[in-house]
Amino acid sequence: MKIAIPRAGLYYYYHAFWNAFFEALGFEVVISDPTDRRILNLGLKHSHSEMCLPMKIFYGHVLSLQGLADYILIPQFEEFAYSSDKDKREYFCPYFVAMPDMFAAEYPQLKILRPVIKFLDGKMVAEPWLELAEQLGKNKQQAKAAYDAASQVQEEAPNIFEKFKDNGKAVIAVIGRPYLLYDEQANLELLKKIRARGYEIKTVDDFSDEGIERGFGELHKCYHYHWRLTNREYGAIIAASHDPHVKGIIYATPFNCGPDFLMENFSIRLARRNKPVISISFDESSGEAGLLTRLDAFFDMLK
Amino acid sequence: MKYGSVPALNEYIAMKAMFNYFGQEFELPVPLNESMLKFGEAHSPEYACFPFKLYLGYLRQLAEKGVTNIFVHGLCDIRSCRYVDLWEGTAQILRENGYPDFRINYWGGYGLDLSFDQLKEVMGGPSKFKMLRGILIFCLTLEAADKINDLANRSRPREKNNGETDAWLAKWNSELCGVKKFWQPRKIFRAALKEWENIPLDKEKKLIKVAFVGDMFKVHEPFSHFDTIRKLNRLGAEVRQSLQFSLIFFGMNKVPLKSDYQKRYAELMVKGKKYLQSSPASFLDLSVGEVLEELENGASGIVHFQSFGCMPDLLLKPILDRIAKDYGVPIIHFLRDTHSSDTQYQTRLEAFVDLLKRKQKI
Repeated sequence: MKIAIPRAGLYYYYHAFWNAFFEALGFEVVISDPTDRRILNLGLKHSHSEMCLPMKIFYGHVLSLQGLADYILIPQFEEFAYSSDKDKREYFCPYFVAMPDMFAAEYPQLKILRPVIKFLDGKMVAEPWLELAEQLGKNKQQAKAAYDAASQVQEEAPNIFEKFKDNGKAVIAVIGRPYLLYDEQANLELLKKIRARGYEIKTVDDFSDEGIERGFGELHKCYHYHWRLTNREYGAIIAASHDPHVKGIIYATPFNCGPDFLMENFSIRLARRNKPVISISFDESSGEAGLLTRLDAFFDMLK
Repeated sequence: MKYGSVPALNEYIAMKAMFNYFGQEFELPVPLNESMLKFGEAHSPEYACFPFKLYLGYLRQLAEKGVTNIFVHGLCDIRSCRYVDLWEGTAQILRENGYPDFRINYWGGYGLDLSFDQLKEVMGGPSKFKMLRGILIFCLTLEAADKINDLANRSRPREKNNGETDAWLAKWNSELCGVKKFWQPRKIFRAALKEWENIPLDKEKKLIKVAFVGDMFKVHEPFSHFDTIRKLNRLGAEVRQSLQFSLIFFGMNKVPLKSDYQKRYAELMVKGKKYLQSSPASFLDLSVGEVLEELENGASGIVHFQSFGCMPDLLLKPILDRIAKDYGVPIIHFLRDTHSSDTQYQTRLEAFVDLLKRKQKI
């Protein structure tokens, strides 16, 4: 049996687990190609015009996998909970919550695997995965073994992206969501363009959880936590603004991102007291001229 | 210190009654209007949704009247979307624009203990017994206000004298805003019901039924949906108010003695699971359950009202399209953004109702 995984959305964080889980169960895994113009165009054609770029890309990946596997994995992301603080919960964007329902409604012919993904203290909760394995005809022991193996791989897996290495170069912090930062088609090769100008990069994932929490604590908002990825961005922007190695901060956001709409009001304004910050939004346009001009102006200012 | 609340969901009526009981000052909402939207549009972040912009303008008008604190029901789970962001974001923008003391207080939705703590702080330290009574008044007033609204939606399409139902509704909502004691809401409802039974109705008039759906802040507030419920009523369509706040409040908070609401809340959620297994923001699963119930009860079409920039509304769109296809009923989607003209929208609505009537040979 073949299981297809779209190389989009939170694939960039959890691909190692997903891949290892299905392989441990004895299934063949098919991953969609890296985003290219064909996949993007497929997404643009079939998604909804108001959606953000990463969602349009997600549509493209899912539809590019049609007919290539028996099932397509479209997880239902729900929450991050903490045993130390039962009131603290973080959630994923509503699109990530309801994505399997949307695809089921629009493409009833798709055979979707939709585990409910929850995290407790940073670890993926086992039950939905065990149920999924049973749904695919495996017994409890096989399911448990696959989950344990996948958890192990996820812990040890090398990151899909290049981690920060201090090589003495000036550092630019690039803060944004994984499906924008690590998808070169979506961000018009932003990271490559920055490196080509002689800078090293720290992304949101190069800041420690403690540093992000500390940064987050400086914000006066936050009566309660809500968005998982937005909270990390809020905190990472503040953490970057205090990092002595960081010369400037680039905040990369998908056009019309719902959860990030208060980033300027809550976080960027505060970070600007310490470091130069630019905010660049990405949509499906493939023209690079605007991005190049903004980067040139920003680096010129840093000099 | 002057408090205010949200002009939707009938929450403000119940809040007013509770504040009356505690002897605290509470400013009733002003109807939402264009000038609020203009202020909100000018001062909101670029990607803010339509409700954010509108409510920013609304809160500014309350602030102009001396309100420094907003008291709203708290929502902090997967169903709350940008709820807290919305309030905290608007409050921060107001603080930066000449209202430095403006703040939001959340009540309920975070468990009973926290609700007591928050009530105690706002209401000047009453005893637990008094707070329980205050909460009881809130619940009974909310229930009465929603029931009165339901009655209005039933009589408005059939009324013989145009505007009589709305005059009745305004009168009894105003009575509920004067509640101070726990026995008053039920008494007021009984009196309202008696008067409602005397509203002259055309019982022979043939009506169509329409399911009206959208996010909770929009479907309850006429300016946000260009007064669609009344427009549909005038065109001969019966509409039930979806996402009643009493259903959500009693269902979600598991309020004692309200097991009928909890049962219905749970049933609708289960019904909604047929098309929406997840529970995304803005009570979409409840909305879907209600739409299915309406279709099973004879609704012949679906009117979906979206807000520009609203993620839950966009999620709902493909689900509703699938439901419409499966049930063989027409559906129309409207998108509400910051433009003010409803002419084109009115024409589309008339055409849609006309289509439904022709289908039913009315």
